[in-house]
Amino acid sequence: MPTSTYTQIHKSILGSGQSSISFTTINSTYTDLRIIVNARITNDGYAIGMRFNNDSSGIYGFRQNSAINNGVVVTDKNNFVYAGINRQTTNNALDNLMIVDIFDYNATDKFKTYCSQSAMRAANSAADTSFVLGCYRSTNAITRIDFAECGDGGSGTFGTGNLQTGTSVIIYGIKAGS
Amino acid sequence: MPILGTIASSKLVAAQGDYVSLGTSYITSNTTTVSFSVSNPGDYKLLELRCVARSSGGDAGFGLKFNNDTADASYAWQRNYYVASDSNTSSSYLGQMPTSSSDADTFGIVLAQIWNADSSSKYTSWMSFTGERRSTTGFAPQLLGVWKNTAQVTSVQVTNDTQGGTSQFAPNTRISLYGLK
Repeated sequence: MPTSTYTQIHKSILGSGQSSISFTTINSTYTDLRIIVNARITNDGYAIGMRFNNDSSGIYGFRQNSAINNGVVVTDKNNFVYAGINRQTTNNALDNLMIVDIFDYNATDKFKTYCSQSAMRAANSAADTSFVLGCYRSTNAITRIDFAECGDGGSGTFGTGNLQTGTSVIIYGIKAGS
Repeated sequence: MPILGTIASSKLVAAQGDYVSLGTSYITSNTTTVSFSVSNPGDYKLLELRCVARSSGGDAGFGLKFNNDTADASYAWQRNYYVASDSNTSSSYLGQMPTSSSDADTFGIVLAQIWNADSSSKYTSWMSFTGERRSTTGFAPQLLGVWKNTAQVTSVQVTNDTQGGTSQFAPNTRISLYGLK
């Protein structure tokens, strides 16, 4: 009989604002990770990003497909210092919602590819939806993940302002069968 | 202060609402088609494919077929790149992966949900998030496909012969099928 495999393995909910959320020892017994993020940021026009293994080198890249205000925006980010998971947002957004999937995060035979389905819900301004697909160009297994507010100019800036109270990140592990 | 926690592992017996593994193929040599059997297909309201794939040759697309129905006319799809789209009414398309000439160690992904596989009165459809990221460019389409058949799904084939090419799935490709009970 098939056994269930969609297991919550890490969770953080901020009781007060802080600069990042860190999971310093990712459970290594799964094949893929699904991460549910609901975040609020401090600075207008910034985004939310991930950093793997505390690696600040410019080996992240991603494409953002976004639908906003009856139009579309497609943006490529190369040689970045973080993995983007949503489009730049506003500091009055009530929710920045992201479902992130990281594939083969333990593998050492390939770069790590991830995707994110995201949406911003604002109080009295425009909202948008995005599909982001990116790559961490490292064959190292992912053992640590940090989340922070980020700037997306140049090669990116990781950690530009606090994640606000109530921001939550929940990580699920999905194991491949035989 | 953050609340941090670590929670225990998988349940041993699946119940209604559980997400269960139905099989995985770890490819060690070039392979054209990966097939999974779906026992008790009526048990699963949703099937999900999770693929990490690379092509052995120049063909970047791969397809999805059901119950060993290999007739191209049985399938159709629409692909959306946000700034462009395309479609075909007589072939199957599931996702995109790097070709053999792409950057080393780069793999594409597919995250696809398959709907109505448990039904014997509706066509089976799938919704796929897919793409690949190279050093300076990438592709990230979303697509909808349909198998124009009302039969319950008893087997799933992920195949690299979708567009008449001769490429195969390259080693280190991994394809997994799950079911939501």
